[in-house]
Amino acid sequence: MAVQEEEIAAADQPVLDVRDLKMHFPLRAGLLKRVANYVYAVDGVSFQIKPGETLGLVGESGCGKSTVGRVLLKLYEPTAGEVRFNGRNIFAVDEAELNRIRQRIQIIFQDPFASLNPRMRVKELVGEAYRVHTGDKDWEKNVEQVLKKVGLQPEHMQRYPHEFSGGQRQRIGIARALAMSPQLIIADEAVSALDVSIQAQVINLLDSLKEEFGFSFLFISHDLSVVEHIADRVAVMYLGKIVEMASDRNLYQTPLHPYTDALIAAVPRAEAGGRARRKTILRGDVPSPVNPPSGCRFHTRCPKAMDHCRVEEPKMIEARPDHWVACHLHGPMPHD
Amino acid sequence: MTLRVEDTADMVPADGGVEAPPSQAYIVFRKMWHLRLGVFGLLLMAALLIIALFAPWVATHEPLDQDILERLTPPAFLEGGSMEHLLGTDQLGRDVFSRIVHGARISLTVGVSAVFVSMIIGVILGLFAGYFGGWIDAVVDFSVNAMLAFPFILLAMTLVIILGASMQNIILALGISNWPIFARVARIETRKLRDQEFVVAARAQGLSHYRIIFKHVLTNLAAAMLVIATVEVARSIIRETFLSFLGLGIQPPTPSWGLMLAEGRDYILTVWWLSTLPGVAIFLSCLGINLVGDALRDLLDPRMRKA
Repeated sequence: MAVQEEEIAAADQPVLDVRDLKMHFPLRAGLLKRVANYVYAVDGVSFQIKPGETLGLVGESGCGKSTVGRVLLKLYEPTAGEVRFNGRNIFAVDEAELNRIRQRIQIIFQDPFASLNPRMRVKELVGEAYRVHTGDKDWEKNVEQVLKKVGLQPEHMQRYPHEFSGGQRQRIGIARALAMSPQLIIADEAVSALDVSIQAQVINLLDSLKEEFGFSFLFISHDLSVVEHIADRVAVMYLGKIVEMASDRNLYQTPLHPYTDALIAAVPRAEAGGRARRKTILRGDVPSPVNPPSGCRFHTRCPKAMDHCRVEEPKMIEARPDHWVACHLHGPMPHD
Repeated sequence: MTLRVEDTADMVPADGGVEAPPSQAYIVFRKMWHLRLGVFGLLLMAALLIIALFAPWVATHEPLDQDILERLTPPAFLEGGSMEHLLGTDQLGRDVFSRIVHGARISLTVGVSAVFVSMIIGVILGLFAGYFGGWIDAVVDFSVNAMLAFPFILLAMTLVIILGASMQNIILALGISNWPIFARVARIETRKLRDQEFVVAARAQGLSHYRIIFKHVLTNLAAAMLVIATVEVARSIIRETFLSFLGLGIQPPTPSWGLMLAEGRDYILTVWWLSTLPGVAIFLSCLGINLVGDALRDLLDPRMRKA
């Protein structure tokens, strides 16, 4: 009984708990290379991922979503915040422990050409981390198994990455992640570089692997329709901050933030009888993350911006059950 | 049936379209040309290697045997020469051909070993500097610049004078004074590789820095290093000649090409072949090695490979 209770407690505990994560990259200028300014790539991001859950992280390019994925593994030195993996703060552990945690979290990268070492055979690419970390003499068996899981043949083991197509290479990348039987997989634009037809195959593969292995999944993408397909919950990022976070269904059917609304409106749809949505077209470009706008960062492009938005930054509130948004339209109006 | 104007427009290639194929052909031609030169270089290099390896069997005489009665005889192809001494004899009556053959051994040993020394120092320093950055990078970068600002031959001479002139010390001196070339290229390439996604991926998998540097980065440096190493062997051979010519290299009576050049200098006006022949040997060896280096660069450079 006690064991069961513990398991239930563990199941309630998020696999990943990100609190107020900040990643500011210094911009150096001048002869002395002094820090002239910062790129506020990630500026106070918080979210949680439960066991077996898939969180989609969407936003335009340059909003900091990929940076989030990399800071989670401390591939960059974070500016502030906490990332707890199974309750352990990744930023506070030593190098050896960090490398142990990194085994439990795997990344699938965007570019299937750049992310595979061109001078290593598939066998080594997929099996290296497993062999090094476990010392398993039978590591090739493991490689063979995961290759089969991602739809590749054992005879592919001896080949080099350049002998494969983009889609196949991405499968190798997925196999590499799976080989460590991770608890959490981060997919950083994992299908963006692929042809649309191949995209669908790879997404279906990821979907079925998730079913089979039950890992938690952080799916980072700029493509809302892809995220809609795979995610349980979705977080929308704009200029280094999360502006809205809700279940997949809530977010797509009743977006609360004007930015989310605009993003969804921009997705081309071919649904018969789909309700005609008033199109919110975004004007202008994403402002520079070096000098983010004051107040609400979206106010420069927001069709519903009020004076107040330019001054005060909206707080993240739970506007509806399990539907979080940071927008003055949905917050308590300011009393002054 | 008549062709419409638009159809013919498609069939006759526009002027702009003619541009592409010749450049393709030009690339292929260039590759073939390089390869042909490369094959020529490979033949020269193979000859050098065989001569060096089998020197005692190739040589017709003992390189140190003197014959006072047969001093300064001309080569077989000149008037007064004989087949007994193919390339004539020097001022002590030693067989020039045999000395050149044995000299190949010395030159190649010194050239290859010196490059080996500088490559090990340079690649390791370059890898660490490029990968870790920070103060290691600053120190290595400064040392490279300082070393390159220092006249090479002065440095090598100083080292030989301090260490003493022996073959082993010449190798060390040449090796130590030439590592910056390797360090510089290794450092820059490593910096590029460090930010490549596959290196980031290796870090994300919790692999150690040591493993990433020597497994993931070094293997991708190997081609560039090999190309530099080949060319540097040729340069080291010339530098050894230079040191020997100055009397700071191989010591007599050991047959070294540089030493032979120096010894022949006194007779250059009358017995011109005495310093010319070792000069030709140096020239052919280095030409061969350089051509091979050139061909290797073309073959190993992925941008050339795709063309």
